[in-house]
Order: sequence, then structure tokens, then C-alpha cells
Amino acid sequence: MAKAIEKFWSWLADKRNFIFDRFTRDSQQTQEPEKSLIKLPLELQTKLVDALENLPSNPSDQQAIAKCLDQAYELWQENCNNANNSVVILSSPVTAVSRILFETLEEWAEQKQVLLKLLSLKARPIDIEDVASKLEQYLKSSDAVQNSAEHQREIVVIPNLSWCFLRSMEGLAGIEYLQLLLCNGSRNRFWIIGGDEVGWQYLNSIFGLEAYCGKVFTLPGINSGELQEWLEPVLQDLDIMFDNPRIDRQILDREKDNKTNYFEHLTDISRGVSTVAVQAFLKSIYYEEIDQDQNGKDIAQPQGKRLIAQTPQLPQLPDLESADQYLLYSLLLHGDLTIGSLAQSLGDLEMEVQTRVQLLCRKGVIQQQDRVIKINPIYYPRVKQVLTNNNFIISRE
Amino acid sequence: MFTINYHLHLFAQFAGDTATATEAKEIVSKLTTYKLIQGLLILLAAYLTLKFLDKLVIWLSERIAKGWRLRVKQFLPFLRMIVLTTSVVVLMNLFLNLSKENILAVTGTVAVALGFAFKDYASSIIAGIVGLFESPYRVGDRIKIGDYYGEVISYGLRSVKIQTPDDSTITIPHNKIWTEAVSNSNAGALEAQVVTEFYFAHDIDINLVKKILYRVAQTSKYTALKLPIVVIMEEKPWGTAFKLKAYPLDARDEFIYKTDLITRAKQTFAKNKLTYPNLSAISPTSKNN
Repeated sequence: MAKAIEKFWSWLADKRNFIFDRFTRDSQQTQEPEKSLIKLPLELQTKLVDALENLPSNPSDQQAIAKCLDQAYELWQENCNNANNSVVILSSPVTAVSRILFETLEEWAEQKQVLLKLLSLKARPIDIEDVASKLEQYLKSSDAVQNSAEHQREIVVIPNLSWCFLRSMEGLAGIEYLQLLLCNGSRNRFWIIGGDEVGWQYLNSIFGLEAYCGKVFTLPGINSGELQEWLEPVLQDLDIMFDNPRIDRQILDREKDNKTNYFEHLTDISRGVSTVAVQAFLKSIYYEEIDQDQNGKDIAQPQGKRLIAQTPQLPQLPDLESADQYLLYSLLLHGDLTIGSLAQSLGDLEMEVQTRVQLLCRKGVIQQQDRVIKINPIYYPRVKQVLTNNNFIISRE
Repeated sequence: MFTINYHLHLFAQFAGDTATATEAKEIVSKLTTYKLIQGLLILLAAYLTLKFLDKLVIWLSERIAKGWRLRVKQFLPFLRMIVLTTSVVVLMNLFLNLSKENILAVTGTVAVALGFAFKDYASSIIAGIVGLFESPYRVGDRIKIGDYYGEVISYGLRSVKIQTPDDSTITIPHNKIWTEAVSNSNAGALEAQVVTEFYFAHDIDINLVKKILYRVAQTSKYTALKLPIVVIMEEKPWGTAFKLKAYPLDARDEFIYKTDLITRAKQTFAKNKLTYPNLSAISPTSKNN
């Protein structure tokens, strides 16, 4: 059977020119010879990864957040009460919402001439039971300052709500405390909370948090123009060229150049999630050998090599068992987790979870860095689809 | 006189037998080896088609999104019925001369034969056909008929097969739906309610227990949070009974879900030192309540 399929594919490859000639208007036009593209060597790949990691967070996200904050803040300043004293910014679970929030708030606070009180959490505490007491301690100390200056308004920032909870018996105490504050706390306190859609949806189904928050804003998906603009410094720095798009795109969008076609396709497959787009972009870069005289310019790539961006693709998701789906949902729910926290969230033994994590790491669906486990962003659109189809609560729609 | 009557009776019987034989000859067409082979091939094809459909529908339903699993499985009985009906019609056409009179004669004869010899079999088949449209149970549902509880794994024309939690397969004829109550936990839905019971002494902190039970369900990986979680209480002479009602994401996880709820609830009860009822201190009659 396998041999028959192989034979069929080789026959198809042989006859490709003949088949596609029928679709082209000018059958006399010669077909371009197939490019022999090679995977990036480690050195070039590291350079590319570094360039992408050094990019600032997507400017369109920052603009959208700033606009939303302006509206909510003005509303609260006009009439401060418990119904409008908070704004929640939601991103996809594979986006570092805290980073985007930090970068946006730096500028926003300067512009508004306000002082921000940032919750001093940089990750989920190892002992999740401490979250409630940490929050209490932090907010009480800010209360004391506030009492000394009666009626003084303050802005409290929780950069990532996911760090404040874990799906376990003791892991929701922090959120319970926050809910209490949002409901009965000082109306002179304005809350800016970052979070991810899946975690928010979970907390909302348990605590009905949305009822206590003034505004809940989900970051819009990035469009192809914004994506192209955002990645432009990397494209220019490494002088990346764009390969011809797929035959269907060539037929449908004759007027568009390869670059436009590439970014439109990249936005489509990444569903507008910038981290997914970056990963798919990274996977689509190859290089080809060129003649020495063609490589005359002073560019940042090795002599005789040219970087080519091929049509981007998302990898197929491997077959997932039911236990894998529960594990992946847990990771989407919390963004990132250590093995211990993941086991607690699943209610399973650490050893069992470790085995499953190893298998999924090997398949590439999840990544483990310094004991912290995350979903590989490139798999996010497909994982989301599978989990939605299997009855898990994923997004706000 | 007796002898004459006896002979007349014998003659009449002989004449009747000859007429029946002629009728039968008219109904049954000429049997040839070719026709027999054809008939056997049709039977074989029907059997193989049924097996293929069984495998295909089950394979497909297990690979697609869970939400569609039961919907796809529900096609199976209809497909089986189509294959069986088509095969019977083709076979009848092959071996019988199906004129209007013959059809009446055949159906009459079959009805009488079935009525006496295969009463229960016919009843089951009719119940199976009625069940297809009334749907007291469908493939994938979790049902209880009599003492048997499990997931419907196959819906035949005569009987339904259910797989019990201890992995036994039970075959139950469809005619049970005429006389027995059929309890269906999910009725085509992916989720089925799981009720977990907990018992405590009278003097426990009720609010604490209720909070723990809600939290246990809310933090279980199996819980379908789209559906309601409810805790209800009942007073007994020996203590207070709590029922935690929640739905797993997939009805198949019913027992593992219950185990997860009990495990984590008991760990938390122990942490909070909640006391269980002391049955040794009360009378045997109260215990039975």
C-alpha cells in the first residue's frame, strides 16, 4: 500500500508540469526550476530567533490597550464607583500579556502622570496557598498609604491573573480575595488586570468575575499589514526574500506580490495571534545557495546563501489521547506550569504527569524550559480547535 | 355411516393438501443452483456490509469531536436496518414469485408462523423498529434496563448490547421496552449527571461542607463547567447526607470522575477535621434509613 502511494506521488511529481500547464493561461510559459532549499544551520537560526525575541511587543496590541485604558480611566475619573473601577485585558494563552502590559503602561503612566502600584509577582508562587496572603499583604500596605492621604486615587496593576490561581482546592483563595475587593473594596482604587482568555473564562464560570469588572477587553487579532510592519526590521536585517505562494494564491491573487501574499497567509493560519505568527514565520525560513556575483551586497548572511521565506504552514497535531487533552487544557488555563503545579491542577500523581509531559514534549506540542512547561505556540490554533470540539471551555464567544 | 364420513373427511383433507402444495409451488419460484449461489452471495454481502458499517461508524465516531460522537453513532441502527431490509427484499424477490396474491399469502403465512413460533423474536424486532423512532436509548447513551447499567455499544434489529462498567457486554432484547422502565442518563448528550454522596455527623459546619463540595467539582479536570453544579442535603436520623450533582465533560468518565471527586473531597474533609456519622451509636432500624 505504502509503495503504491509512493509510486502515485512520484508519478504526480513527474506529471506536475503537464497538469499545471492546463491551468496556466500561457501553456508555452516555462516552469521555473524547483528551488533546492535547505534548513537553516544552527548559527543562522539562533540569529533569527534572537532578532525575533528582541522585537518589542506588537505595537497594534499596545495601541489597542492604551485606547481601552484611556476610555476606562476617563470614565472612572468622571464618576468613580465600584462598577467602573477596573479593566481586564485578555490575550491568548500563548501571549505574554504581562510583557505587553508592562510596555504599554510605562508610556501610559507617563502620559497620564499617574503612579502605578504593580503587584510584585513575576510568576506563580510555588506554594499557591500563599497567593491570597501575598495579595492581602500587598494591598493592605497600599491601603495604609491610602488612608494617610484620604481620597487619594491609586492604580493597582495585576500583570497576569494566571499567576494568582491554580485549579486546585487551595488554589482559588487568591481570586476569592480579589473578588471580594472588586466588589467591596475602595472605589478610589482603579484596577488594571492582565490575563488570558482561557483562564478568565474558567474563573468567570466559577466566580462570575465579569460581573464585578468595569470593562473586559480582549486583544484583537493582528492583521497582515500590522504583522508585516512589525517584522520588517528582521526582514531587512537578514534580507529575507519571499518564495512564490501556493498555486491557488497565484491564481486568485495575481496582483499581489509574494510578500503581501505571504503575510496574508501567515495571518490566516495564525488566527491573528502574533506569537503563533512568529513561530510559523521562523519555521518557514530556509536558505538557498546563490552565485557569488549575485551576493554582492553587504548583508548579514553568509556568503553564497540567501534566506527565503516559503509558504508558512502549521504542523499537524499528533493524535491526542483523552489524558493529553486534559493536560493541554490545564496548560492553556494557566499559561505555564511546573510539573508539580500541573499535577496539582490535574489532580494526578506527579510521576504520571511527568510521563505524559515527556511524550508531548517529544512530539513538540509542549515545551519545557527551566522546569516550566508551556504549549508550543505554533500548535496553539490546532490545540484550541481540538479542545473546543471536545467540550472544553476555551474562549469568551 | 361412520365409514362413509371417514372416507369423505380423508378425501377433503387430501384435496386441501394438494391445493396448498400447488399454492406453494406458485409462490416459491423454481430453485436452481445458480439462484442458491446468488442467495448465499447476497447473505454474505449483507453480513460483510453490516460488519463494515459497524466498524466504519464506530471508528469514525471515535475519531471526530466528542460533541459529534453520539450523533454519528446514532446512524448505525438506521444503516443496519436499511441493509437488512434491502437484503430481505432482494432474497424474497429471488426465491418467491411476488405477485399481489402471493404477497398476501406470504405475509399471512409469515405472520401466523411468527405469531406462534417466534412471538418474542418478532416482538423484539418490532420493538427495535419502534425504538429507532421513539429513541428510549441510542448508541452511546448510558442506560439502565432492569439490573443492568452501561453504555449502549450496539443497536441490532433484535437486541441492544450494553457495556457495563466492569467491561462485560450484556445483550438485552428490545421487547424489554414494552414492559420495563428504561433509565437513560444522557439521552444523546455527551454529558451525564454524576451524583456523589457524602455523609457527615449532625454537628458539622454545613457551609464549610457545601463550600468544599462546590470547590471539589469546580476544580476537577473532568467537570463540564458549562453545566450546573448543585449540592443538596438530606437529614437522616444518623447524620446529614450531601449529594453533589455535577456533569463530567464526557459521560464515559463517569466513574473516574466520581473517584476524583471523592478522593479530593475526603482529603479536604480530613484537613478540616469534619466528622463522619457514628453508626455504632444508633439503633439498627435507623441505620437502614
